[in-house]
Amino acid sequence: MTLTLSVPLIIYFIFLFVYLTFICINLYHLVASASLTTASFIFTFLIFAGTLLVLYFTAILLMPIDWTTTIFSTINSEFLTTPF
Amino acid sequence: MHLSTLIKQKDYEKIVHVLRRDPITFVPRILLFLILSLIPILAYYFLNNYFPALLQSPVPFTLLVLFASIFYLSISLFLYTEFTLFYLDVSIVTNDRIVEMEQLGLFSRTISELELFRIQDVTSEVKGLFPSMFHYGNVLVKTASENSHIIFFNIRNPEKIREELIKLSHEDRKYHMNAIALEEH
Repeated sequence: MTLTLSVPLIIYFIFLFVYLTFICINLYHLVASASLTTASFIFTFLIFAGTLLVLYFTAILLMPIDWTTTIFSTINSEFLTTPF
Repeated sequence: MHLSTLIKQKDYEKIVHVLRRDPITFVPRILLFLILSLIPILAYYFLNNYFPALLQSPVPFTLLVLFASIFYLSISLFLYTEFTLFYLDVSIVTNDRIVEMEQLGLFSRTISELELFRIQDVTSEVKGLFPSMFHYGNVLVKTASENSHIIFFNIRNPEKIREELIKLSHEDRKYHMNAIALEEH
């Protein structure tokens, strides 16, 4: 079994999906309960801007990464042949 | 959606107050968010000084960046959810009734309504250093019924709101007395 860097990336994308779902639920609550005022709009804008910044810097930092790099492999593993 | 639609405002009804918790009571959550957001930055400086090899190797570097990203997004979501719960706790005072909407969680909400002429007692309380400094506190509205009461938590100028509620309740009671008298004649 070989674990490559693409596995944490997939987990990250799953997290992003959950994150966006909850952000949408929060936004829906604000709109549906007539609470989308100037204050809540500014707060929502700041959260969205923050999210975009985090995603931008994550993308910039991870741009040169080769996602096929192996994290862990059981094939030819030294641990399996010589555990002690 | 507008507040009048939300409370199904009657023709003769006028919204007098929209009461939310004082914004100052949300400051501790913002401070907690700021403190938490410093953790990855401090961790970066720590790793850069004591384990620089960890940040140069692609696998740990990628995992750390993904973890930091998840951490920042999680605390943003926490803050936004807290803000939503904070902001959706709203009480609407009209010249006829009080509608209290309380958001207990993202999927839990209670709405209670109280007619102004039923009000028996209104109490305001300002307890503690910060409430005294920033003029916020609770207002407890009681009716004759044991189980029926509404509490406005951490609202700005609770004394002023208490006085206005008493005034509105007197006016509404007069209106209802007149209506009963007219019906009897």
